[in-house]
Amino acid sequence: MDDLCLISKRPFTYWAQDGLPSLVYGLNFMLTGLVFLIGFSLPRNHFYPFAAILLWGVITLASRWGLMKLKRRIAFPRSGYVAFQPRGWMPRASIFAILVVFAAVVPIVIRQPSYHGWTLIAGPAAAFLFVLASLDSWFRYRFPDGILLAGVSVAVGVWMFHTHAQFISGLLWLVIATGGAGAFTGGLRLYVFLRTSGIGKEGPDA
Amino acid sequence: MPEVDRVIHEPGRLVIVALLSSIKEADFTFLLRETGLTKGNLSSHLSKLEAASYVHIEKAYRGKVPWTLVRLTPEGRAAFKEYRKQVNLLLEGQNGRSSGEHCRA
Repeated sequence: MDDLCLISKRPFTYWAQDGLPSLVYGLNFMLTGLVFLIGFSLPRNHFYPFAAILLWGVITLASRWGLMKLKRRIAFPRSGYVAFQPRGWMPRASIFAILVVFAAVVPIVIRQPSYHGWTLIAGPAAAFLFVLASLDSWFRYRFPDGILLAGVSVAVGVWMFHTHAQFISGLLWLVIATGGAGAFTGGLRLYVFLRTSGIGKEGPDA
Repeated sequence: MPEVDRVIHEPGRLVIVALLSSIKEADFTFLLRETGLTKGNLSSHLSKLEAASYVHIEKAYRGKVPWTLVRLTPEGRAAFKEYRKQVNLLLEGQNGRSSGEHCRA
């Protein structure tokens, strides 16, 4: 039965094999982090947090669209096509709730005139959550970037703790660093995938 | 002693059904790659699963290249669920413990 579980998880592992999701979402993380970091370094006004959130939405939608476009052009003809089951209402509601909380909290935190003790602990705590998420992806789906992303998250967490980095800037550097690591390994895997996978043909007996 | 579904119990078909159980649909190339079967073998197993109404096969063309899409039918999903339940019962009978009926994706 355990083997059957592993087999039924293989499509999820397959999805990451060509490196495209890591590359695209890595770039997404880097861009998102940069958008917020630039916005954060600008003089405070009422407009930019909302512009940054809007840009983040645009980047996320563009990544999703771009990933599917690249999958159709590069991956599916070589390693086959897979479509996943649409998400149920529970995961959709959870994602929506996280987005709403994030969109509500970020402008409030950014507008804070000064940072208090909790913001110094919050950065390493966020890094720890990134470590857990990365290791989870490694254990559950054999997601190859998991270990590297966990290592990068630990490094950024330690850096935040030692430099007493402010929560928002530390969190954004964490997002940029993990995004960079993901994009790098994704690019490497895509290169290997293109070198080793030819375009598959079903043949007359299919 | 519970009876297991012979259509699913064959190793090649079991891998096909297990792969399809966690997704909406996949094409022939994906199944070929993931099962390690030959084209003829995979085609034959798919025909048997289709005959048992466990999979729905859709033939199309991508440009001039044939494209076969396969998806598990509701009957197929139910049969796979039942199969796992029966095998678990058998294993529990042998080992005296549960062997993990559920696997979370």
